[in-house]
Amino acid sequence: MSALYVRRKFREWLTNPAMSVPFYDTVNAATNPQDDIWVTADFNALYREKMTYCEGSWMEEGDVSLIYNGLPGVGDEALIEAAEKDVEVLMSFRDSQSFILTERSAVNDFSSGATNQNYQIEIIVSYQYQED
Amino acid sequence: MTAVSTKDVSIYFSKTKGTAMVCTAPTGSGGSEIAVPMTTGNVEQYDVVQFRGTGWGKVDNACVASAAANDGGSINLLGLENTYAGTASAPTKSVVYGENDWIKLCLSELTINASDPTTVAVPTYCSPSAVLESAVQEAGTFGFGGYLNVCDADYPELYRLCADQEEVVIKIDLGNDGDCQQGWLIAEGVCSSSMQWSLPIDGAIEYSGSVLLQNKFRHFFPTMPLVR
Repeated sequence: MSALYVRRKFREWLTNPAMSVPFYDTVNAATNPQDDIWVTADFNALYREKMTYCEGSWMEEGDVSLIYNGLPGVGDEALIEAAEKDVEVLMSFRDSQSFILTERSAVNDFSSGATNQNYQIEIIVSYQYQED
Repeated sequence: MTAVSTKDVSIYFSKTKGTAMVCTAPTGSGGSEIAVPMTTGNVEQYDVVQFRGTGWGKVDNACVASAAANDGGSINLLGLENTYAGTASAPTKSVVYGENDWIKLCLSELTINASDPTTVAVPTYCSPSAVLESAVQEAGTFGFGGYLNVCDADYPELYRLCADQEEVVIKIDLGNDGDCQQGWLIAEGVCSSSMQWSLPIDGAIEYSGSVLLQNKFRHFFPTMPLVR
C-alpha cells in the first residue's frame, strides 16, 4: 500500500496525454477494457523510515508494478514495444523533489507466456517519497 | 525507570555571536549556584550564556541561566555550585543566546567523540614522560550529517559556518518525558571547513561535517543537582 500521494501522482502521470497506452485503474473497480493494449498499476510500499531528527521527515520507498495487457493477437513484440516506450515517458516526469522515480526494472513476463490468451508483461518502477 | 526516546530531540547551532552583556566578577557561596552580576543585559530562563576571562574554568564556557534576569540583576548558572577558592575576574566577554540566535538543524546523524586535552611531549632525562598542554586545545569532535537542500533553512547557514570556520555553540535539546524536561547538552567548538558531500547513484544527496570541540559537552537540566 503506497501513500495516497504516490497513488494519485502515478495515476495522474499514467493518464497524461504524453502517455500512449491507456491506463485503467483496476483497484477495487470492475473494469473490462477492450483496447488492444492497456496498462494498470499495483502499488507496493517496501519500507518507511525516519530521515532526520526533525518532525515529519519520513521517507517511503516502494515500487509500482505496471501491468501491460495485450488482447489475443497483439503479440509480445508489439506489447513490449508499447510498454517500453510508455515507461520511458513516465520516467521522464518530474514532481517536486519530494517524489521521484528512481529506476525501472527489465520487462518481466507476467502471464506465464502462452498459457493465457491475454498476454501480460510487467515493468516495476521504483520510487522514493519524502513526506513533508 | 523509563527510557527517554530521541523523538523530541532537537539540535541547534548558534548562528550569531549572541547579544553582548556587561557583567562583573562571579560571586556566591558554597551550596548555591554561581551568580554573575549583570550591569546591562536581558536573559530569559534557560537561555544559554557564554563568558570568557573570569579565570574560572566552569564559568568560562557556555552555561545555562537558571532564571530570568535583566539590568542590575544576576545571572544564576544552572547547577554550577560556587566553590571557587580563588578570586574570579570580571568576564571580558559576556553574551547571551536568545531564541533567534539559533538555527535548528535537521540532521540525519550525529556523533560525539570525546577526547582528552591535547598534550605535547617535552621529555627530559629527569622526567622522560613530561608533557605540556598544547596551545591548541580540543575536547573531541562533533560529527554531523544530513540531506542537502539549499532551499531548507539549515543547510545554507551550516555551509556558511563551516566555510568561515566560525565558532559555534552547540545545543542539543533532549525534549521532555511527560512533564520532566530532560535539559540540554551544551558545548562550544569551531566548525571544520572540511564539509563533505555524498552523491549516491540512486538516492538523496547528503552532506557531512564536523565541529572541533573546545570543551566537552555538559548536561544542564532544570532539576539538576549542584555540581562542583
